Amino acid sequence: MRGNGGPMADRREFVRVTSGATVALGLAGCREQQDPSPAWQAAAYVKPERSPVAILPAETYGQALPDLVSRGLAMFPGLRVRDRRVLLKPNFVEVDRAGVINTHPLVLHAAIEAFRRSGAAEVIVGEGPGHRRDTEYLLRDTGIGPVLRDTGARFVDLNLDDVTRVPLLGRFGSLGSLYLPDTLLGADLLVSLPKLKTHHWAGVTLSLKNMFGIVPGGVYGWPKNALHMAGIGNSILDINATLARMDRFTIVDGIVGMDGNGPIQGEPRPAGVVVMGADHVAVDATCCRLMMLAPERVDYLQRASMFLGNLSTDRIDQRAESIAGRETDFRVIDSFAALKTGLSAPSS
Amino acid sequence: MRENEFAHGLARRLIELQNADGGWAAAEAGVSATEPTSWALRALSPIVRDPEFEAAADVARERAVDWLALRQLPSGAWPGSERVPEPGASTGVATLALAGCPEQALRDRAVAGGGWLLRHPGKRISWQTRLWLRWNPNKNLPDIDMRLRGWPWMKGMWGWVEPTAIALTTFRVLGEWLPQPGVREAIEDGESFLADRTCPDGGWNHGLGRSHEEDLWPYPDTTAFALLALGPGGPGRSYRAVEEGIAALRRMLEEPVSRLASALGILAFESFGQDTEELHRRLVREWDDPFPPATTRALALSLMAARGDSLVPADGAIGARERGTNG
Repeated sequence: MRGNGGPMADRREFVRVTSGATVALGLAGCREQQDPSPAWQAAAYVKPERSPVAILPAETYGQALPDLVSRGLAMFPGLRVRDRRVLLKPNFVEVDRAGVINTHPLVLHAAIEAFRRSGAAEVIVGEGPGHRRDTEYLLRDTGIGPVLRDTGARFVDLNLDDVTRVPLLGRFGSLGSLYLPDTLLGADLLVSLPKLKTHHWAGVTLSLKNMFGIVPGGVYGWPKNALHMAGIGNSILDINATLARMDRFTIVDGIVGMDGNGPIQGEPRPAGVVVMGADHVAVDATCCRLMMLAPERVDYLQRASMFLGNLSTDRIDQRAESIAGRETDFRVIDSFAALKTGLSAPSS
Repeated sequence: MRENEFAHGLARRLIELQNADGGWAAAEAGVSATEPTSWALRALSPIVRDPEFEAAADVARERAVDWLALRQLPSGAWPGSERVPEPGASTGVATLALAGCPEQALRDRAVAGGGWLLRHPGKRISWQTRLWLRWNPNKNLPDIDMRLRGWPWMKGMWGWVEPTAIALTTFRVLGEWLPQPGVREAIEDGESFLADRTCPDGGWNHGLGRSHEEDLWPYPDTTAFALLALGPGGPGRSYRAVEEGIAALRRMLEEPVSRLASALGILAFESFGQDTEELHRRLVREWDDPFPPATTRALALSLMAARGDSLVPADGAIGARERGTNG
């Protein structure tokens, strides 16, 4: 690992392994390793000409969320759900009695109902929490368990699922391949259900970062240190470059988000939106703008926009609500102050 | 050794979940893997003494032993599963399981596993990085002593609490059969690592007590594993961590958490001679509800807890004697 780079190599080594910290590397005067040659096969990716993203207002979790999600799905006529096996991947991280850290159980419930209404052959819920190994504890304590019990949806602990080794289609990091859960690989449609949050190492955690949860702790441990050692941003890109082969969709729980020292120690920040779309880069970029953060300054998002999806507002078709008037001022920790630099506060 | 209807029910369920190849999957269905197979074997040893189950448990145990024996690598380690050929932290659990078997040939396999663990601790931070850390003003860096060496989930990675606790327990069990003084140094390393990685209010999580200048909180399962590893009457450097860890585990288990947490809580508290009557009652109630489906690990550890079994075998060799003299 140390190679022959001397103290600077040691510095990179330390920060990567303890946190995967692009940020701390930046503070130390260096950046996550970026190979100047393309880290993806250009021919394998065709960015959509335009990417529709829906912003649906939802002030509380009390309203008829299944109807809202169904309305949102109807805005994407190209999305194929009928007779397909749908895997919902919520962000389900920590014991969360205040309902701020994890995808809210009622959003998960709404998604289960909406995909069933749309004719899915099966709706499966899968997650592989990154810190806590005791998934039963999380299921009971987060309110996800009662949703699974009430809906009868099958839950798969992706940390413990059978796995298959898959070559990664990106080479931003040094992983080369990853073991991935068979339930994921057997799904016809993968739906990311993240929470709208800031992240103290990655800047933001949204649809793309949520995919860390598909990597099995049963192989890589708790935390999934191999992803950190390869660099958080690099791993996000390599995983999503590989998943780009699958049909994917995303529904972001932005009704109450988290700002500041996310993803688990931040503060609740009501944003009153559910954001949906098939282009994860476009959805995450839209979420950043709703959080009053500059998506082109989120390192991994900017790199993802080179091949995975659209970042520019010029190429994103906003459906339902527009961003203007729906922004919420999400605070970031000092090391991500640049994400806010030059952005104006919303007019009240 | 408690024998009761509840324990028999768990044993029956565990035996029913054994795969045709003799191993167990991590969850209810799936391919056999080293860790769940090892926990299941550990839970079935000593064999249930009720005649109704004895024969079935014997057969299950023999098939599990065969599964593990067949898959042990020439290095002494075990692969993760049928699908994951790389060795890792599951070697510690397999070693513990076989160390609890009476047959010398199986203990020899355990010694080989323990030797592999001794040779494969987690990465250690270089002196240059330590020097840089000392002067670095970045307060976001983790507040841990990077000089200390734990045990990793995967070969070549950094140490974390649970694999370190399992490795430390393994070294305590196998102590006198492993090369000296390497095992004594490894035990000291493991103890120091765990003492450093506590949460500010006591107990352990995956391995970071603070991050970004904020306290993080402990988890019941990792706290119990760390307490089991450090054991009663541990050396002075971990005494405070143990005292605070026990108090933290008590607080965490004031309310029901999970079957795994209750089972590990029982095993940890009983290793310190503490009362577990209420936790036993809770564990029985928790198993009345089949949702969510339990993992093989939770089932096996619940069986051990229900029987009053201990993670360190009664004839657990050098570790226990050392603690007696050092404490």
